[in-house]
Formats: sequence, structure tokens, C-alpha cells
Amino acid sequence: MHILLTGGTGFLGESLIPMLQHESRIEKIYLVVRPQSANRAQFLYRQHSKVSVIRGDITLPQIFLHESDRKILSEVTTLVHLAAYYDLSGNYSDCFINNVVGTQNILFLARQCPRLDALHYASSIAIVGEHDGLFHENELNKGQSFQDAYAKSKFEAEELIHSFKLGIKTRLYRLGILVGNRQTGAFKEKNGPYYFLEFLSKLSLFSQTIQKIPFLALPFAKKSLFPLAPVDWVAEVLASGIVMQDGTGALKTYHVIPRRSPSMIEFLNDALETFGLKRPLVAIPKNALNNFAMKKVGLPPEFSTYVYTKTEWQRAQFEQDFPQFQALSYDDFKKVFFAGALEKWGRK
Amino acid sequence: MKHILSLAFTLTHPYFDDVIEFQGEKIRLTQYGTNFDVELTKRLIEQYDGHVDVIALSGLPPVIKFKGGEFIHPTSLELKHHAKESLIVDGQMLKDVYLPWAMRQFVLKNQSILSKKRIGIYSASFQVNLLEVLEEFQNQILMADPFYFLRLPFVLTSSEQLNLFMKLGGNLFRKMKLKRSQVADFSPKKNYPRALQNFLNCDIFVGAMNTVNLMDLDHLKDKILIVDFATPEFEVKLRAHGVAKVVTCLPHLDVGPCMNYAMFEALLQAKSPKTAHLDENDLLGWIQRLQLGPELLELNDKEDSEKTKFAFIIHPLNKKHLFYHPKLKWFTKNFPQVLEPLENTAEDLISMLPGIFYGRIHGVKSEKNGKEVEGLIYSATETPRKIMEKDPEVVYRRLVRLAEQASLAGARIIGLGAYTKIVGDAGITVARRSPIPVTTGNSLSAASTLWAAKVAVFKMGMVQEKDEVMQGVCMVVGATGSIGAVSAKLLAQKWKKIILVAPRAYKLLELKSEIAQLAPHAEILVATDPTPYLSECHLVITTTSSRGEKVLDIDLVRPGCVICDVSRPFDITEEEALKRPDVMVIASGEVELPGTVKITVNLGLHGNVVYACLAETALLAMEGKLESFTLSRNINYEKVIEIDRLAREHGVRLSHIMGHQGIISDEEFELCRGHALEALSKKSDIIRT
Repeated sequence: MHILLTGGTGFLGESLIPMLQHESRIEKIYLVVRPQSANRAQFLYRQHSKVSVIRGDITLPQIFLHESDRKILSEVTTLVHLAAYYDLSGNYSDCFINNVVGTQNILFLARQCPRLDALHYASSIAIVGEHDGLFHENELNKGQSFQDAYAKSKFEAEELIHSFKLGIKTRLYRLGILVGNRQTGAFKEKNGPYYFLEFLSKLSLFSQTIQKIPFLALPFAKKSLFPLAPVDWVAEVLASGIVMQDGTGALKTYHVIPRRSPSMIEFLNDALETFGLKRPLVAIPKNALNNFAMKKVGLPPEFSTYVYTKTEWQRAQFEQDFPQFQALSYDDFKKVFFAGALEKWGRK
Repeated sequence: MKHILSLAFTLTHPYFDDVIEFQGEKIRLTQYGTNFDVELTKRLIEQYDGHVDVIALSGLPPVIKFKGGEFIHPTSLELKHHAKESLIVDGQMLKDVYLPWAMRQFVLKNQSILSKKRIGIYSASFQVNLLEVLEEFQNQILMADPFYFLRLPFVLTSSEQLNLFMKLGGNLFRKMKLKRSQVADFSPKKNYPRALQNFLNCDIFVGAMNTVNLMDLDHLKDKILIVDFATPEFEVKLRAHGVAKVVTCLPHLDVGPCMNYAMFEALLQAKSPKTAHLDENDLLGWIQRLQLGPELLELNDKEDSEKTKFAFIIHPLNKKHLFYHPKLKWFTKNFPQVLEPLENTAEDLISMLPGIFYGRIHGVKSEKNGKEVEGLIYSATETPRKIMEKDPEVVYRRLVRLAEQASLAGARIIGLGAYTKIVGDAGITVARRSPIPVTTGNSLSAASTLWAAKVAVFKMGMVQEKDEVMQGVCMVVGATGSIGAVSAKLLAQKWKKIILVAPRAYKLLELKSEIAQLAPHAEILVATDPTPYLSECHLVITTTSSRGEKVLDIDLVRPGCVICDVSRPFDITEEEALKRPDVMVIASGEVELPGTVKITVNLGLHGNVVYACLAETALLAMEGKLESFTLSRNINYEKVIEIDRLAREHGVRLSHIMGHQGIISDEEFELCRGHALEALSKKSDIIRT
């Protein structure tokens, strides 16, 4: 199995590559890496014999920077597209160029690979946008609206995957909100929950005062779920998916989230407890001032999509094809997760 | 491999990235929709600049040319010059070269579809090329530019107006941002002012797919749409909305997913060895080599199922009718005493207003070809007195105005009712100035009067019929007049003996010889005075213009005689008629229209009964004979024969015989016949004794 992989230097890629290295069925891993990250990639994977770094940029029509690298296309049997521009407050043009144009270029590249038989694409559960209620894995366009450019561009990219007709095995992984390693708590990117935790750490300077307040009013909906997923667990799922031998050509979509995700109120309580701020919580309903308030305290306004949307992600396909990953629940990793955050921002 | 980037500014999901083949060359075509996002469009151009050979930008406002200048939206300009290395094309040159030529060829080949029609153009300033061609073929063109750009509720009707509009509006448009919401949706559900309603009632619409795609398409049901190009998805959408036909100026080329001018120009550019923009000569060469031309797609073809509309002008026949307006119904019913003193003032005041749209006639369906026609009734505001008082020129102007309105509302012919056809030269001037044919309806009025006379004679039962010839005597008073002559010619063929009466003897002799040729068997007498013959006539038709002067002495008329008084004002007054209960005086015949007719307003008649002149207009619409059929006071014998035939074919029939006081019932006929028989027996007694 010869793999061409994008996003190898990303949060998820760094966890995934070592796992792929150990898979006996995999012979070669070509990483498409932007020139500015190429040296880092070389260094990161210096001990990974199967890995070769290829300079390229998925936002360019030809992707590869050196024409001579194109010869590897004849070897590639599996394409793994993880690269994405993940920034909740990113502008739409950046998200579009990286996520939509990038994906379309990758799909064009896929057509150039004569031996290609599988495509794995990392999407996000954010593509549900502001859809309330049950969302099936085989659904995509339910007329949902989007608050943030990231979710919208990922949605459009997924539409590209859906309309891509090459008849090869196509696997779409809608990943939960990636959080740090479930064993070490280590994390790299500051995404949704970490923004909030950083905010709490600042707030904990005033914990004395806050303890005197009868309750804390925060913007959230009690019933909305917060589907966190530890990065190493997700990488394991992907590694297992990549080597899985179920040669059907159909498109399959998986909601890669743990068995149990915390409700928003549960998560907030845990987080506040971590930083010694535990007070009774009062939910502020969605209102026009939220975005303004969030900006003021340094949270991305797009955050409100997450705290207010009451989506329930159905995961039947995931349960069926990945039975070995059904044990994990929020309770299993929350301690390490909060510990990781506390280590970074907590007051020593 | 050559690489083309196509950016569709107004679309959201036309993503495409694959290798296509054009004229034997493989070309990579990448396409994105940017959904009015200028920032994103710029970013994409920057991203691809230098990596692709040509960038095709579609959906941007084109250069608008008008007399004394041209105008391009700053955003268009900015985007079109955003690339540093790759060439950017927008299809404008291809449009300029190809469209007028192609459209002209198409119209010449399909004259029936695209000439003398009402054509609505959503944004004519973007399609000046087509406008010139369409105007050349005598189409009536409505341009919704003021609404399209500024939501102003009026339409433009000529290129001069468009020029003026662009001159005045140019500076404003420059400042407008390009947004999806800037494109008007033309939803027919909205309550638009009349000018826009008229626009939405056009037969044919012209637009660019990029913008039509963003509109509410319900107003296109059963219409013809001319678009610059159409993708298969767009065709499906149009079909679903019941669009009858689509003319796509650019044919399907089977090369890409969503062909448009920009992309096509880009393909030609990519194919060319030139590194600079193609010029007009190159494009002309390509057009010929590829044998391009518009395509006509029949989506929901319903042959002739579209309703022809006709219009008819009536007016209040007396002061009381002024309060017949449906909106005053409640008032007239409950407070008649209040209205009476107001009548004179109302007559004066209302006659100063222009005419109004009054109501509709639905469900008129021909028995001959099953074609359904719809009537639009307009009402002038003048009472007969006012019409006769006013300068004919003023009345003409008002009638022409109504005809223009009717034409805008889709009517293809207009009929003049009651006194509106007597004014001045009886329709000739109005017809000359009106955008649609005009008819007075007098031919059918004459025919229906003769039908009525025939039926009345038959009901009185005084004359025997033998070999389809009435064995009796008939008289035409005023025989040299136009209705008189026609009646005389027709009657002479059906009656044994006919007496022609007119004041001028020389004219009578001319008429006599004419009739003798038409009806050689008939006995024809001429006279300048009817008196000596009155006692032997079974049917007298009076059609004089004596304006109330006495033309015949009713006392001398034979009992059981039918007097058909065609003159207005009547030759036989009501009092005179009452003096002779044994003589039947009839005034006209009203006709009924075929089909399940529904008239939304009160015309003073019941059911599907209408005035004969209105029926003529409807008949002409049913037959598709959209011409000024009857004009002036003279009616033509051939025309009467023709309309008589059409009436029989399409199912327009006599419904009632009208007397001085409305409909004459069968009982009245019986009563009159009784009196007549009695009088005749008395008379024979006198003769015997």
C-alpha cells in the first residue's frame, strides 16, 4: 500500500504518521508538505523509514512543486487528505482557498493516479452548521446555515467529495472537536474548547471574587452536546480505517466521536471546577449581544455555533465498521484533558 | 496541458475540475462559484494567476454602452484587471461579435416566434446587442431596468429611454455594491404596480442565465425565454416551471459542464497560439468554423393553447351608469337618493378622468378550434352626451390611450363599443394611432340585426317560405346608406320582393342594378317615399340618419309587420311603437358567446349574452384574424358575409331580440301575433264589406 498523505505536519498528522509507520501493510508514505514546513517534517519523521517528504501545496493547481515528483503518482494506491485550514475566526477566502480549492485540487490529483483504489478524507462534525436535532452519517445538505467560514468551507469541500465519481473506495471521517492526547493531555492547537479554557485560566485570577458571586451566567444551551475527541484516539481510528480491508467502492461517512459526549453544562462545570471557579451556572439564551461579548473576552464569536446548536450526531456506521473503538467515553479522558489545560495555563 | 480557470460570480456550486477535450486538444478546466464574494474572487484570481493560461470571469456586470459614453461597474473593472500574468476574459467580445449576428439569423428563420411580439427584457442595458435586433423586427419591447437596478416601478419602452436612464443612473450604479440581493426576483406573487404587471405579462422574456437563475421563475409559465446560454440543470428548472420554449443563443457544445461566453472565449483563447487577447477577426473565424447559432428548445409545448386576449371599450350609457362601478355597489344600493343630485356633477367630473380598466370576460371558447380567448373590458368615463360634446380629437386620444393600455396588458385586438365608434371618423383615426388593430364591430352588429329580423319574421308567422325564399315583401328605408345597402343585398337574396327607399333617386338606381346582379330572381322596386308601399310590407328595416325626424307613418304599416329599427337615435319612437300593438318593432339582436362565459362586471346584459360588436372582437380573436376588420361608418357587404360565416363556425349565436325596452319575449311575440291576426281579419272584413 502506497499512501499519499496531506496534512502530515498537522495536529492529527503527527499522531497518525507513527501509527501508519507500524502498519505492516503499508510500504510507503508520501507526505505532501508545504515548503515552509518541509524541514520540520523531515526532522519529525527522521526515524520513520517509510516516510518521504514531497514539497507541494494543495492550494496550487498542480500541487507538486517539482515536476519530477509527479512520477510517484503511478505508485499511489491510497490518498489520505487531512490538510485543512482550521481557524474558527478565519476569513472565508482563506478557508475557501485551503479547504475547497485544496480539496478540488486533491481530487484532480486523484484522477492522475492510475493505481488509486481508496480515498480517505478528514471532514468535521462542524459541517452540520446550525442544524438542530438528529444528523445521520449519510446526510450532508439539510439546508443548514453556517456561522463560521471554517464549517461552511468544510461543508462545501464535503460536497466536492460527494460529487467525485471515480468509483473507488471513499471514506469520509467527520471528526469531533480534537483535543489533546488521552494519555498525556498534550495538545498543540488552540481550538474551540482550549480558547475557553484559556479564558477561564485568566478568570481564575479573580477566583476569590467569583466565589462570592451567587451564580455565573454564561452563553450556552444546556442540551447542546460538546463532542470532544482525543487526537490519538482519532488517529487510531483513521489508521485502522486506512488499512481496513473492506473493498467496497461506495462512499461511507463516519461520525468519529466517542460513545458519550458531555452536554454543554457538564463540560462547563468540569472546566470551572478545574480552575477553581465552580459556581451554579445560569444559561444565557442566544441573543444579539453574544457575539459582541465573546469578542470582548477574547473568544471567537463563531464559538456560539457550538454552544447553542443542539445537534445529535448519529453514529451507526461508525459503530458497525469500528466496533473496537466504541469503548471510549468522555469520562475516560476528561481528567487528562483538563490536566493538560491546567498544566499549560493553570497557576502553579 | 493548457489550464483554464472559470469563476462564476453569481453561482454557488458549479465546482468542476477535470480535463476536457476541445477541438482535439485536452484542456484542464477548473471552475468555482464565488456567490457575489468579491474578496474571494480576487483571492482565487491571485491564487491561480500565473498557474493557469486563461481565467474566465462570468456573471459580472458587462460594459454598458450608451450614446455618449459607456459605463462599467468598478468591481467588474477591478476584477477584470486583477491578474498580472494570466489572461482574463469575460466573453464580452464574443458576445459583441456573435450575439447580434446570431440573433438576427434566428429571428429571420423564426419570424412567427420573434416578430411583432411583446418582449420583456430584465436588464436591457446588459443586452443592448439583442435589443437592436429585436427592435428591428417590430417587437414591442419593455425594459425593466429601472426596477432591476433601483426597484423603481416603471418600465422603459425604447432605446432612447434606456439611454437616458443609463446616463442619469450611471453614477448611482457605480456606487452600488454587487450583491445577490441587488438582483430583483420578479416574483409574480408580489403586488406590483401596473407597469410591472404589464412587464410580467410579456410573451417573451430576455435575460442572462446567471441572473434569471436567481429570480422567481413562476412568471415564465407558458412563456418563451431567450437566454445567452442554458446549462442542463437550468433547463430542468425551466421545464419544471412550465416555460414553453427557450432560445439559447449559445448552443450546447458538449465540452464542459457549464458553458458560457466567458468560458467559451477562454477556450478559444487557450486554443489560440496568441498570447494576447483574441481580436474580432479571430472570433469571427471561430464562429464560422464551429457553425454556431442559437438553439430553440421546446420545453413545455402547448400548441396554440395560449389564450389570445382581446379588449373592448365601453362607456356609461347614462348618468346612472356612472355609479355602476363594483366598488360603489354598496353605496348605490343603500343611498340612491344621495346619488341623484350628484349625477350631473359626477358626469362632468368623471368625464375629465382618463378611461379605466373595468373587468374581464373569461371562458370564451371557440366551437370551431377550441381556442380560448379572454376579454379585457375598458371603460371610457364619458356618457354619450359628453362624448358627442367633446372635441373628437380629445376622445381619440383617450381611446388610443386605452388601446395602449390594453396592448400592454396583452390584448391583440380592441373593439369600440357604443358611442365610442360613432365619434369623428368612426374608428379610423383611433386604428391609425393604436398599437393593436381596432374594430367597431359593426359588421356583426349588422349581421345580428338581420338574424334578429329573420327570427322575428319567423316568429310572427305572416310570411311563407318556399325554396328558401320568403314569399313576402320587405322594405329597406335608407337603403343607400352603408347598413341599408348591405341589408338590401342580403335580403334581396332571401325575399321575393324588396322595396328600396332612399331620398336620392340616382343612388337608388345604382343600388338596384347592383342588387339585380346578386339576386336576379327578386322583384326590386325603388322609391323615395315609403308611404305607398307600407301596407304591403312584412318586414321594414329602417336605417336612416334622420336624427329623430319621422321617416314613416306607423299607422299605415301592415298588421303583423316586423319593423327593424337599426337607426340610432331610433326612427320609430317608443310612443309610436306602442300605438300599434299588432306591429313588432325590434331594435337589434344581442348575441351569446360560446363556452362557459364569465363576465366579472355588469354590462347591462345577462349570462353569456354580449353586444354584437363585442362578439365581433371576440370572434376575430378566436379566428386569429387580428386586423382592423370594420372601420368607418361604411360597412362592407363581404365583411358582413364573412363575419356571419365566422360567427356560425365559432358558435356565436343570436340570443335575444331587443326592442325599445330590452328583450322581447316569446309571449310578447304571441300577443303581437294575436293582435295582428285580429287586425288582419278586421281589415279583410272591411274590404269584403
